[in-house]
Amino acid sequence: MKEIATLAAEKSFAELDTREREMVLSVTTEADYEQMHRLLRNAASLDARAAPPHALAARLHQHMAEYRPTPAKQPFLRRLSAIRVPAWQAAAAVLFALAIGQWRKTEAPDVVVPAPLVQTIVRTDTVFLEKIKWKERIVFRKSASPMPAGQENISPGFAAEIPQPVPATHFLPTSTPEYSASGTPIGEQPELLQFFTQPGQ
Amino acid sequence: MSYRTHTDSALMQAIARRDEQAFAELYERYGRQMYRFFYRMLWRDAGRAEDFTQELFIKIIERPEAYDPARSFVTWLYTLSHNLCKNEYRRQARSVLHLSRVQPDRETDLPENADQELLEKQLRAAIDALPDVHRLCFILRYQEERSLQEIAEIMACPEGTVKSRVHYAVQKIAADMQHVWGAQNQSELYKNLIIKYL
Repeated sequence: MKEIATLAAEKSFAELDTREREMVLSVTTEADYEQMHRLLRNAASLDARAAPPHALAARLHQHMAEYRPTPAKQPFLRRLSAIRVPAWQAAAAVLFALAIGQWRKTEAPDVVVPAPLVQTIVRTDTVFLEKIKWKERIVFRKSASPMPAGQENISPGFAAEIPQPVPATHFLPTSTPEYSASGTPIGEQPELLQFFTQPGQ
Repeated sequence: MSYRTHTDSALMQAIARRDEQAFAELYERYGRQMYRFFYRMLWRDAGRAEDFTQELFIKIIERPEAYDPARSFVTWLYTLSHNLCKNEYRRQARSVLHLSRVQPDRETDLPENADQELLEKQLRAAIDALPDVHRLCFILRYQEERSLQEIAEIMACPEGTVKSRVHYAVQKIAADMQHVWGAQNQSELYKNLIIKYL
């Protein structure tokens, strides 16, 4: 089934067959269809008589006869390979190249190119970090000890320097501290310094 | 050698071989048709239509290899022509000229049975008043009698778009022709017809 617009462009209402008329009348009236037909028919025939002048055809035929297409530009390598030279010229060029090669070989001095000397130096450096630690030790003596045996061997001068033990009666009973250990300053016991000093220092 | 029975594609191949008879046959087939198309598209300017027809056929002479035999030749020809027209529209900046030149003459109060000449005059004015794409669709559909599919291919757009453009064009022409027909509800009639059946 054709569309109504297409139908209207082709046929008037009178030219429609029964089935087409039924279809048209189910949508619109005969008068409206006729008006649409008139519109589209007139549009189709509008300017239908326009024709080109004969001179146009003549010009085009002349152009067709005279026109010679310009060959497309070839790539450079293809154009280069298309160049033809006489065989003797090619042979002469080869011989010339060989002669030049021979001449360069004989003329060139024998220059010995020393191999490049490669020296690798690896340098390692060390950084020392110095850190001084100080230690202090305090030695306590619990009580005064009696003169050890053999004290008599000590020189009289040195013995005089040895402090005598304090008699117990000199202590106040009430002031006796629980903590009875009494220390001796290390400065007064030079022997003890040996514990803290290294020989040679 | 006669080319009357040759297909368009075969003619194009012969033209590519510089066969003048083949070109003569092709011009015989499409010269007038394409001239008429340009005449309608370019505001009925005979000089311009002639120039554009010449340009179109010179393109065919000089670059026949541009035609792809896989495509329909007529569609390709209309596509070329359409592109030439588009370029011309751009060159002319036509819109200003168009508005001043082709508005339908609504002042003329024609009788219901106006004679053919006046009717055609009004119809031309109504067609010319359409926007370019709609005018092209209308001309291709109802004056050049191309199918919707062909028009879609020529304009490089979907078929649905062509349908709606043709619909709009017919509706607009019908509205412009209302006072010529003398019917008040004509626009509504075309609207109904086109929406349902176009």
